[in-house]
Amino acid sequence: MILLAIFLLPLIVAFLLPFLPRYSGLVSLASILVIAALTLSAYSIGESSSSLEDVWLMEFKRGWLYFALDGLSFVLLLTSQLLGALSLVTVWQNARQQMFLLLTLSGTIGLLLSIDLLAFFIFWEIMLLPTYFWVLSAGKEGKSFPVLQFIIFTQASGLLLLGSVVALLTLTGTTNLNQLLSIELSQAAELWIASGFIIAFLIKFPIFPFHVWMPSLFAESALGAIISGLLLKTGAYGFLRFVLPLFPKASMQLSSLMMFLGAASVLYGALLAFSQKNPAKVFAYSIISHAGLMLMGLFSDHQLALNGVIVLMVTQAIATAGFMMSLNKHLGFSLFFAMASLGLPGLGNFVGEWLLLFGLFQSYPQMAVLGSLSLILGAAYFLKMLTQIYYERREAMTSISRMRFSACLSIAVLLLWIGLFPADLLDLTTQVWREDISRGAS
Amino acid sequence: MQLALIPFFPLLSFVALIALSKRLSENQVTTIGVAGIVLSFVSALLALILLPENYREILWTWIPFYTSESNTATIQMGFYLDSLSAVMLMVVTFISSLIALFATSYMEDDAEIGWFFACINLFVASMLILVLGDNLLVLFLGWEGVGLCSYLLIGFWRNDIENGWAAMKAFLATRIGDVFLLFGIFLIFSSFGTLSIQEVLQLAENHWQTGSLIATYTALCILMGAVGKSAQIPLQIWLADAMRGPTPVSALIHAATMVTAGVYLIARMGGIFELSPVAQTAVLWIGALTLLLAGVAALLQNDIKRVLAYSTMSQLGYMFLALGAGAYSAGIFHLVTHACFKALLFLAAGAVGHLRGHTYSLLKVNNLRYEIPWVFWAFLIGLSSLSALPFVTSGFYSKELILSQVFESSYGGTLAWAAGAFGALLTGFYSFRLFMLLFYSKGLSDVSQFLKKGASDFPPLAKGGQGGFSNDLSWRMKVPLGALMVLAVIAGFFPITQITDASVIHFVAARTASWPEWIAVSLGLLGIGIGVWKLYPMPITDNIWMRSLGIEALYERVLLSPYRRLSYFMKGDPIRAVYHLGVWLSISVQNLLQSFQTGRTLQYVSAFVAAMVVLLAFWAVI
Repeated sequence: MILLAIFLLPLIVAFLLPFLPRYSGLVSLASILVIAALTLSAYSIGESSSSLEDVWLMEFKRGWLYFALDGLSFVLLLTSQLLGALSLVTVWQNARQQMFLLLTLSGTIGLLLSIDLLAFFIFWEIMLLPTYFWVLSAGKEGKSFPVLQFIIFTQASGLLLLGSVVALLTLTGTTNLNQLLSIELSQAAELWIASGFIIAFLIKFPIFPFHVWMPSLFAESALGAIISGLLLKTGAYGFLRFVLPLFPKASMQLSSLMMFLGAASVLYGALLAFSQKNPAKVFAYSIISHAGLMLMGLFSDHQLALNGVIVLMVTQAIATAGFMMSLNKHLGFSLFFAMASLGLPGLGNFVGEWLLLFGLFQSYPQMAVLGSLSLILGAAYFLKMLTQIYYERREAMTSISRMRFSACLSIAVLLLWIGLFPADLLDLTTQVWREDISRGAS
Repeated sequence: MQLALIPFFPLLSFVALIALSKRLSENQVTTIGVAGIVLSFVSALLALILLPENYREILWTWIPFYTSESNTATIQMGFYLDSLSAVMLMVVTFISSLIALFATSYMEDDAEIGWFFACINLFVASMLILVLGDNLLVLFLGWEGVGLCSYLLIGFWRNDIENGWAAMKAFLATRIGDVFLLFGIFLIFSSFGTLSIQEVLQLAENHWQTGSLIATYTALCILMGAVGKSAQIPLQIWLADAMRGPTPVSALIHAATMVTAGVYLIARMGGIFELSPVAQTAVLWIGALTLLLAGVAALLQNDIKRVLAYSTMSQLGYMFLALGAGAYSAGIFHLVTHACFKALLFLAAGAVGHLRGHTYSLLKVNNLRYEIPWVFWAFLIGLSSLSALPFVTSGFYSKELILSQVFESSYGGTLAWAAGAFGALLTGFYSFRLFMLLFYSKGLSDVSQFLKKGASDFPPLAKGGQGGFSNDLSWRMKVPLGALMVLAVIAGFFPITQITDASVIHFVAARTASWPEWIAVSLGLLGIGIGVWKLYPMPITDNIWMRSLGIEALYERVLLSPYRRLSYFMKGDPIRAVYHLGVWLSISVQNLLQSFQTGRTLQYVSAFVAAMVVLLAFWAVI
């Protein structure tokens, strides 16, 4: 029941917001805090009550609505709630956008909790609906083209996902992940169905050459950036949760192609980030570059690389959010978050990149060399951007509000914490990996 | 906790200055800024006295690894103190304290003095983490921290974007080395499952064959990391431009932190280099090449700080030469003496800049003999030590130790020794060229006159201020200068027997003056002589020697420019065009279809009939 509450509470509050215009910010923040507390308690209850053999810490099942919680979804739930709370700060005065935010958050939570592929698909679509309206209402007048692009791309990815889910259903008669894991598909069927999933997730990730929708949407507003942080993680999550465990043979078969796409993404994103003038676009292309690195990690068939991917998913999302919040507002924080993003040791992203590259190095050394280029090229475009901000646009700084300042400070502390004491996070995610592998093997 | 205290104090200062800088007065800022480093020096001193040798301190588990076989591999956050890190600790904390004290006067009235001291403290803390790190990843943490701080401090003055590009260049050039180092760490970790330096050296000795491929790869990766940080060829391009930072920062980079990191790293990982003759030879020849080319480049500069920068590069080349010859203690010994006299020289240059409106060009600042006596004596002692004036300077002992050991080493031999000896000539030459220009000439325009008349006929200018500048140094500048002057002379007498296999005192007393040493010494003296007496006008036009030996131009042409052009060419994301093609296709198909929709009945009917005919004909044929 707790899981259902985590999903429903923001949904309900979202529809109540229009009736509480004066307190909408506080109410939204309170609801996010409550679901964060619920998530934490669900995890601790689940951990104390479940035995080692249990795959899931906590489950909730009503027909196709099958929610379950494990370490991976727990970490990502908390991350999206944090991102939700942060983006709330940027729209503190705007009740309508707060509503969209809560709806998106609720959709994301549903998606992260769903273990049934049908439910997963439904939330995949629901999550995007408010985004359309949100970005439309946040964006400037006459700039609907990025949104249109976004809709077309995400609809295409949704269609592919739907096709694959239906194909899986006709072949196996179920969409329940637990049951699917024990069914073995033929090589050809696995390859076709996996391709549908993979392209859908690649679009969301986003990986070259499916990235086109992202930079323009991202640069639309700080909001767009944070929300894409929320959405983008679902691509990597889809790989971790479904593609790798469900289609082990196809994953092996496609791994060299994925490595190629990943390396192409790393280089293409870095190359384009270098020539962008708008810092938001620099970050957008850097996300594409890092997504390439993560894709390489996902298909490296090495546990440490998978751990690294999960750490990077979390740290990159919050570092990007922090940067977008402090951009043009606070020099020190934007420096800090840019440095975190380029993988400075002691900050969270470094742990992820280190694990990822080391894992990759173990199984595909040449690919690790290519991937490590992102460390040099990343330093090049981030420093070029910082130099331009610091030396040319110093006057453009506006003062930072107290709320934004504390939001930035908390992200900074969190990044430092993950960078210096990553053991807690790694413990959670390692558990996940073992389960995935044992399930994939059985 | 004793070891952790050493980097803790500067870190604390950093945090305090960042958090409070807006509410603190300038006095409070400088007090906090200096106190952090001085306390770190005191705690380092206490640690040396109180702690046993080879003391290890584990703070917490940093990164746990859950490898599929076992859960045991973890990377600890921990520090390790042995004689090598002890020497480095002393150099870093003591010299940084003096530099920080100097900076309190140098940076007076700067609007961002709080930020400056915050960065300085972080710089020192990173360097301390680097030298104290018990495992390679902790070392890497400090390593990257040093890179970050150099970026922040080189570009400290934000009124000129060129400072920003110089800072970026330093970060990028060293970052390339860092990635190599990272791969060295990967190789070590995948071979041994641990990164603890002492264990790694032990395991490598037991498991790796001498000359094996893995040892060579690892050593070369580590070497590239060191080459980046220590500004050796081919990654030396950043060092000269790094002079755009405030001068105390240059002193810090060149003496106490940053560039010495590479030398430390190779000395620390010496066990691995010994397993790879290829890498060892590479270290040696990179050092020899750098010391010669940088020596020539130093000869052709017209800026005090750039002369000093290339001289640092050249002296680091000597250290690499020593490391390559396996003379680790000689290399570290030279690191220590060099830190003393190079800090002295940079602070003296800083004093000049402070009193002369931040001008360092030899064309404008010159003839200072009687104007600022402190600077005169500081330069005289520093440059003598740099050019290894026999017996009375510290540089003499360390450089002679290096040269004699290189001569005897199996990797070095006569050729490497000859490079070093010729470098000694260059060193004396450029040092005293700088000295004469700075103190005894009225600028390069007068040089031709000087040459015609001869040195004796060239009278020093009358005493007195130049262009209304003040000539008074505050005590906060005089104390560090004085202390370093003393050190630059006596640092060579310190018995650093802990790190040197042969005591220096012993070396000085017992050595037999063989011919290579006499030649090296006399070449050095000859260089000084040329510098003093043959003061001819140096090319002041822009030439490749002034810009990083031409290697930079090569990078620009082969790598940077194509990358930049490609990037700007693709700025608009060409992949979009593919999708736009799709959009264009659907729009044109739509337009095409729309054009049939004319609304004329006759056209519709005729089209219908025509289609029927075609279809019927088709059917009939089938």
